[in-house]
Amino acid sequence: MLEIKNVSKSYTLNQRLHGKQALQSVDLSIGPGEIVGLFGENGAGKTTLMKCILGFLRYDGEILLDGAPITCNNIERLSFATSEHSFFPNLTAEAHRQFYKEHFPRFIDKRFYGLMEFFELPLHKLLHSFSTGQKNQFEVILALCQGADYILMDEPFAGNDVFNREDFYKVLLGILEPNETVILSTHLIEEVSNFISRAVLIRQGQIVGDVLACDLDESGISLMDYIKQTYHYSADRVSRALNDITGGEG
Amino acid sequence: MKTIDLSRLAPPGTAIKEEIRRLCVGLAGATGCAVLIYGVNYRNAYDLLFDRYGVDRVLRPDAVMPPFDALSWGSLTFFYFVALGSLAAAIFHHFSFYSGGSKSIYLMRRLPQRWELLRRDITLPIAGAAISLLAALLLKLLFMGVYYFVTPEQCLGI
Repeated sequence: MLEIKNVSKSYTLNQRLHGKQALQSVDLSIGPGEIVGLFGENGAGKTTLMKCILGFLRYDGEILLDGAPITCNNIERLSFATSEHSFFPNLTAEAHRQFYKEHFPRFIDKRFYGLMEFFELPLHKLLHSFSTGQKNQFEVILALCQGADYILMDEPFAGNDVFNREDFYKVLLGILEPNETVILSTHLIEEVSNFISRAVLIRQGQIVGDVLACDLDESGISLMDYIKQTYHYSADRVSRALNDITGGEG
Repeated sequence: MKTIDLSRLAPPGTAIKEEIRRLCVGLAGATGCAVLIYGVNYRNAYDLLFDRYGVDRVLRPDAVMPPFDALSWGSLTFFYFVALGSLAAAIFHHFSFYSGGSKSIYLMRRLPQRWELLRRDITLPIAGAAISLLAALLLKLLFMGVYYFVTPEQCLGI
């Protein structure tokens, strides 16, 4: 169980003084086997939350993994795929596999070679010569093959075409073990709504919504509608804005 | 003889051969400067030990060679400066390596081996600085050898 308890994060003193923190008293528990979609507008705090979980940022509060703080003793149970890419550009895919194997003994070779073959990625070509889409794919492959229990993915599909993404969702669902948990931050709400088991909404650093996919199904509300309701999205805001801009012309 | 895999002592994907080449070029340059500076200082001081009578040189009875430290000062100081400057530049380059082209710092900070990041960042720069200082020491010994064996015994300074 990943437990996030009363976590707050301020990047500047000004943020802290004026109560506009990047994260404000976030409480969240994520259990094994969940596929959690983390949604929110740009700057909502999704990436900040993930970086706090991984220990990249200092924060107030507590983050526990099965009751223990996240340290070098259990960090291997978390993996991370980011749109910024965390691989080494001057290494090949095979060299990355060797590096991961050395540092993460639970690395899954079979899954790695299988995914590399499925997505037709070259093993012996330097990463900096991959296309953006290939880099995204490889980043996610590393995160999936590390052998982690909790796989954090921060907008991993930016730059991939829709067919590529569809393939990946299907493969993801097919290969995950029952105990593997995915926390996926993305703006592609409608694409992921069919395979996530839980949706967590974050806005201005606070959790504003947390719902199971099955509950949404039972209520007959789509994920997009749920998000719009939670955000109090006004459908006519665009027309009103245009009216203001154009002065009601045309 | 077991060989050391230098790639395990540097950020993954670093052009180690290029770093070694730069170190060698720096050492060669610093050595050349040190030899030149000391050579000029020693030659000038040596010439002052003699009086010239045409093509002949006669050792002056009261001639004293300046102390070794006075002659060598400046030549090796420059050498130390280059060695330490290279150390700082290499460490900075290694730390900034993880933010160029991608954010591999996120991977390095997730490693269970907590000292891996630091080890890969500073090992080669420190080794380079140590080699530089060793080279400076050997040069100093060479310069001392020249000072004590070339200078007429009766002219040796304190």
